[in-house]
Amino acid sequence: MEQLKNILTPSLFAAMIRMATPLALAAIGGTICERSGIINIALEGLILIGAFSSVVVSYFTGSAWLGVLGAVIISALFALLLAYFSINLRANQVIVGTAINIFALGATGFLTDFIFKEAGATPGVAGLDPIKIPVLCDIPWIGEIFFQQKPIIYLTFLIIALSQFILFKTKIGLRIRAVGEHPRAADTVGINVSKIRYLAVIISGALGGLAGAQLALEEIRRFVEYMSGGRGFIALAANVFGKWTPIGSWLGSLLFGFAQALQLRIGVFKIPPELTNMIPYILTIIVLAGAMGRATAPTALGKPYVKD
Amino acid sequence: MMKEEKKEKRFKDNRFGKTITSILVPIGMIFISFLVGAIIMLIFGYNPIKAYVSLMRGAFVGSFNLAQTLLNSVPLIFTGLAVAFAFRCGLFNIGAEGQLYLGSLASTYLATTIVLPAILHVPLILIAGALAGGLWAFLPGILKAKTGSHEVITTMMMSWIGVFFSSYVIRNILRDKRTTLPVSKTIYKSAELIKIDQIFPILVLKETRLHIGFFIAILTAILIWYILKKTTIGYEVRAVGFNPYASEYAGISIGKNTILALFISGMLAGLAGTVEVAGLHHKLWDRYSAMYGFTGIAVALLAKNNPIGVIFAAILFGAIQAGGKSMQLDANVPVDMTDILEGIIIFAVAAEEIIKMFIRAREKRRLVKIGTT
Repeated sequence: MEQLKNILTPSLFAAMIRMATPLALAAIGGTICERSGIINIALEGLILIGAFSSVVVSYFTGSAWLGVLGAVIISALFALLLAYFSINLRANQVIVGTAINIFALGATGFLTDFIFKEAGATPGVAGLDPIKIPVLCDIPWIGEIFFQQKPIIYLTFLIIALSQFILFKTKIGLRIRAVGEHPRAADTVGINVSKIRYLAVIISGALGGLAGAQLALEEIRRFVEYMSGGRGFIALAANVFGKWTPIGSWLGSLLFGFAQALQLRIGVFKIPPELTNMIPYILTIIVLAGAMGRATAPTALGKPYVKD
Repeated sequence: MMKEEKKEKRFKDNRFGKTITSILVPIGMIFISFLVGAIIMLIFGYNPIKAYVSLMRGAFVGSFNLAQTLLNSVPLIFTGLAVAFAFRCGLFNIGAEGQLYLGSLASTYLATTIVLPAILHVPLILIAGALAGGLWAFLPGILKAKTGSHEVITTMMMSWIGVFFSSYVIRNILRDKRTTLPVSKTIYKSAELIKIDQIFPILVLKETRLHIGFFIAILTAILIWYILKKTTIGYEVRAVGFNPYASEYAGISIGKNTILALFISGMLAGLAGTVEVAGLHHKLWDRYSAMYGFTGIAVALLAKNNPIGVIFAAILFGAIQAGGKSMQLDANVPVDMTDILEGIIIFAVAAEEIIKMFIRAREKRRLVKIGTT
C-alpha cells in the first residue's frame, strides 16, 4: 500500500498526460482521416517527418515556434501525397501509406546525414519550455498534472475538444462522416467527396506533424533517427480503441500513455517493459473482438470513390 | 477449320503478350524509380552513376556480395509470398513481421531443447515455425470472418503483440544465460540448414554463408504458384479475392477461405523466421528482423502477387540492401538512400495500377465507339 502511494503521484499522471499527447494528436488525425473513408497507415511516417522538420526549422531559425509551424506544414504536404494517390489516382491506401512510412524513414535519415553530417541524430535545438498557468497551477494534484505542462500539450486539450465538436456538431463534420459512410449518397446531395476527403487527409497530416514536433521540441529537443518509435501505430490503435471519435482516441491515448509512464517507474513493480508495450495492441484486439460493444469502422473505409 | 485455328493463334498471342507486359511493366517501374532516385541524388549533389555502379558492384560482383544479396532475399521471398497469397484472397496481411517472429520463436525453442537426427529435426522446426506463424494470423482471420474487423488493423495489432512477446521470451526464457546479450542459445547442429557449398563445392558461391534455405524458398514459391493455379484451395481463394459475393453465390465460403488464406499467409511468414534462424544466424537475436515483414509488402506488390515474380522482386530488394553499404563507402551517398529507393518503388507500384486503369478505360471507350458506329 505504501508502495502504491509512492507510485501514484501527481508526477506519474503528469507524465501520463505528456506521453499521451503525441499519441492523441496522431490518433485524432487518424480519426478525422478515417471518418472520411481514407485509411491512414502513414501516421508513423508523418510523425517522423514532423519531428525532423521541426528540428531543422528550429535549428536554422532559432525559433521553436517556427519549428512547430514548419512541422505542421511539411507533414500536411506529405499527407497531400496520400490524398492525391488515394483520391485522384484511386491507389490502394494501405500501399501508399506503407510507401510514405518507408520513404519517411529513408528521407529523414538521408537528410540528417546530408544537413548535419552526422548519422543517427542531430545536434540539440531550441525547444519549448513549460508554462505554468497562474492560479490554476497551484491547485494541489490537478495543478501539477494539468497546468504545469508544455505549450503543445495545452494546444492538444483545445484540439481534442474542438475536433470532437467539429466532427459531431457542425456541418463540415457531418460531411466528413457522410463521405466516409456513404460517399455516393453524399455526392447525390451535392457534397464534393474529393474535396472533403482532401481536407480530412491534410488535417491528419498537420496533426501528425504536430505530434512529431511535440516529441522533438518538447521532449528530447533534437531529432534521432526513427524517434517516432511505433507511435503512429499506437495512435492507430488508440483511434480504433476510441471507436473513431476524438474523445475516445484521447482516452485510449491516456490509457496507453499511462502504461508508458508506469514503465518509467519500473523497479517498483518489476513489470517487464515488453509486456507493458503490448498493452495498447492487446486492448485494441479485445475491443475489435466485440468485448466492449461493437466497434465498427466507417463503412467506406479504404474504398476509393468512383464518380460515374 | 481455318477460322478456329486463327482464333486459337490469336488467343495464344494474346496470352504471350500478357506475359510480356506483366514482366515489362515492373521492369519499367523499377527503371522509373531508379531515375527518380538519381534525380534526388543529383539535387543533393551526389553522383548517381557512381552511386548505382557501386550499388550494383556491392550487390553482385564477387561471391561474397552475391551471396549476401541472395541471403537477404531469402526472408523476403517468404514474407513476399505471405503478403501475395493473402492478397490473392483480397486480404492485406501487413503483420508478417510479427508472424515471422513467432515462427522464429517456435523453431528456436525446438532447435535448442530437443535432440533429434537432422533428417527429422530440420523438418520438425520448419513445420513448427510455419504453424506458429500461421496461428498468429489465424486470429485476424477469425475476427475478419466473424466480426468483419478490418484485417489491416488486426494483423498490424497482432504483429506488434508478436514483436514484443518475442522480445520478452527471448530476453527471459530462451536467453543464453552465459551472456548478458539479448540472444538465445545456439541451436543444435542437427537443426541447422546446411550451407550450399557443402553440396556443390564448385559453384561461385563457395565458402559463403548461403544455405539451402534459398532453395527451400524457391521451392515454396513454386509450391504456392501450384496451389494457386492448380488446386481447388487456390481456385476458391482466388475466387473470393476476385469477387466475394459471386463466390458466395456459387457456394464458396468467404469466411472459410478468409481464415484459410490468412493462416497460409502466416505460415509463410513464420517460415521466413525459421529459415533465418536455422540457416543464417543459428541463434535468435532480439529484434533481428530488418523490417522483412514490411519489405515483404513491397516485394509482393512489385511482383504483382505472382509467386514466381516474388523470387525476382525479393532478389532486387535483397540487392538494394546488400549494395547500400558499398554505395555509402564508394559514392558517399548516405545508406538511407536505399530506404528512399524502396519507398519510391512502392509509390511507383501504387501508381502503376492507375496506368493500367487508364489503358483499360481507353480500351473500353474505344470499344464503345466501335459499337456505336
